[in-house]
Amino acid sequence: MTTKETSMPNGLTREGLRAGVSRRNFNKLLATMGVSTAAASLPGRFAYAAEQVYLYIMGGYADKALFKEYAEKNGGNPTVALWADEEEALLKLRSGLASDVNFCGSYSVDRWRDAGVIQPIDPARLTHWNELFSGVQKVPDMERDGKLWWVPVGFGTTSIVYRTDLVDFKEESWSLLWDERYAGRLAMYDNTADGVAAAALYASVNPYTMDDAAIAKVKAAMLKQKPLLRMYTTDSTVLSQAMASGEIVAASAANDVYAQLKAQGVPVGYMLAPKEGILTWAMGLTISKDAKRLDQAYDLINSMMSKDSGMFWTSKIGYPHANEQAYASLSDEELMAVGLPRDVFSLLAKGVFESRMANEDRVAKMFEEVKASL
Amino acid sequence: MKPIPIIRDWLRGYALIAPAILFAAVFLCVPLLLTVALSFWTQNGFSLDMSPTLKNYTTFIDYQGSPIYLTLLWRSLLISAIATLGVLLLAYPAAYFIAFGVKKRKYIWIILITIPFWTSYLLRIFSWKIILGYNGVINSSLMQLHIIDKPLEFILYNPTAVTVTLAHAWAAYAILPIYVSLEKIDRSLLEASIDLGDSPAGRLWRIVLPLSMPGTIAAALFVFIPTVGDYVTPNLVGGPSGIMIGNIIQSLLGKGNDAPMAAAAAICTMLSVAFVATGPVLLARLLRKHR
Repeated sequence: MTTKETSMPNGLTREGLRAGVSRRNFNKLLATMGVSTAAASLPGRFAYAAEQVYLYIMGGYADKALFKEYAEKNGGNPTVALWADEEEALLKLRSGLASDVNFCGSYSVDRWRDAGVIQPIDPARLTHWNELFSGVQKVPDMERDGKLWWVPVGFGTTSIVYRTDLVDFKEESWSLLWDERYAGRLAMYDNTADGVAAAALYASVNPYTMDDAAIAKVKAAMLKQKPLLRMYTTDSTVLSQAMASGEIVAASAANDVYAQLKAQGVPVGYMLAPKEGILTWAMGLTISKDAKRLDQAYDLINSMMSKDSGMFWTSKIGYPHANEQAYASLSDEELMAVGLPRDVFSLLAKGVFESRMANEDRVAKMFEEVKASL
Repeated sequence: MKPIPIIRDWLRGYALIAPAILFAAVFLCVPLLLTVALSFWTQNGFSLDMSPTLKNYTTFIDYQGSPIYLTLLWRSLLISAIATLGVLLLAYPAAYFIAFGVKKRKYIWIILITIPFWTSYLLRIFSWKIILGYNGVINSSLMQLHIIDKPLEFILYNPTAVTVTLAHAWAAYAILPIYVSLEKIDRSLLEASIDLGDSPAGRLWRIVLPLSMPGTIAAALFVFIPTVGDYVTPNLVGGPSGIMIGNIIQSLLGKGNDAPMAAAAAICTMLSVAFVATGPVLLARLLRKHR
């Protein structure tokens, strides 16, 4: 009896002690690991993140260099989410992505406005507007009902990139991408704005006014092309790699692919005057309908339209920026390095400018059908 | 002493599974019913026309005179079936080895099997791109050995590449259930068959294979069901000719902007997968009855 009585509390105390010690140790451990300090700083960091504007932009464009002016004013960089495909971006915005500023092509603005995801932009709050090329101050679709819905940031061309050592052709033409001599070594843009538009040019159809008959004609051209293709892609990195290795010898691409390959010393050419016409486009920014940080949204737009951003955009990303002063302050050598002429604006003026397609739903469906066909 | 209140067994049973049922009802049944409802509606620009119609289903069977959806569904079932077969052929020997060949520290082998799963699925697909690529591992080794003088183009961006990638990516899902069912086999049965003079092949055929059937069938279903609807793999290694029904559903929801058609396609896919998958399940039940 006595032994039991003494041993029982003894054991209990020992157990209790062990538990107590371990808990104390645990707290000490937490303290030494700095968890408590980290936990204390958490609310602060969340608050900080909430203050910054939320930018929804295409992958490859979200560089800090474009946010310099914004960061100076707001003490931090924007929160950035990336999209890879404009239709996917629209889908996410429609299902409630809480972004403030969105990047898109001018050809998409109308559609985005119809979907009710963007709000008009106040031109009076755009501090760098007068520095822009006059030609991009007014492009199709950016204004509607007397209001401005989109502002330009950059523009560029879509044409045919080819390996000068692996293909030959008589005249510059989109038909190179239908040339059976290069079956299995061609690639096409995986979107309607560039891919279907290029096929329409090849089929001698105006890409922006297609009716059912024209859509059928373009579909036939794309079905004819499909067996010759190695891939449909919008990924310029995948395309550059495939072209550098010779896996692909010709592809529809924007001039950044050309610039990337040229920089690597790959023998490539870029058709500046395909006989059916070169595609030109402008990319820019919109403000979400329910933007919570409107002031910062304008700060960000101004920052991305600024001369500093423009110099970075043009010389590093490889597309001409909308800011004419930025373009003017780059040297000929810097422009040559990314394959841009001094009078870049004549390019935009000569080409077929990408705008909203008629019957866009049917066009999109047609393209999906082509890709799904056997 | 207070009498312990008697809770009826069935009530206690339901109380225990209530959270699971609630979860399934909210996150499985409701979305499924919504998908079914959606499939009878029509997309109208950015809005939905809710008057019920069978149009989406007739489109699935016959799209402007061509059975494009059915063909893709068939291709997806075929790719998944071949991939599943490949997985089983690869997984069975591995599981057999761990169950019967490894005597000590089996857990190390199990962990080794799961190691590829510590990296993301996307990374595994990308590594297959590197292996099968134009100047990838296979092509450059064959060129270095002077077996070929220019890279083989048919090994990437086609249905074969999708099948190969799927077969590798899902192997661990098959090894584990097969291993468990092999591990459970009563070793005295094997000893008895040896004593009675059965050959090793006969032993495998008469004892091991039938007794491990439940695990093998489970493995086949684990691989077959999710791969039919896969769209990431065909997107990355399938090229223009390797797309599957999952890609169509995804593009209908995204670029195609036709959610009701996507819902109809998803339901048809679900039904056909269920149809194909119940075959093995019925087979397993039949085998269990025979034992």
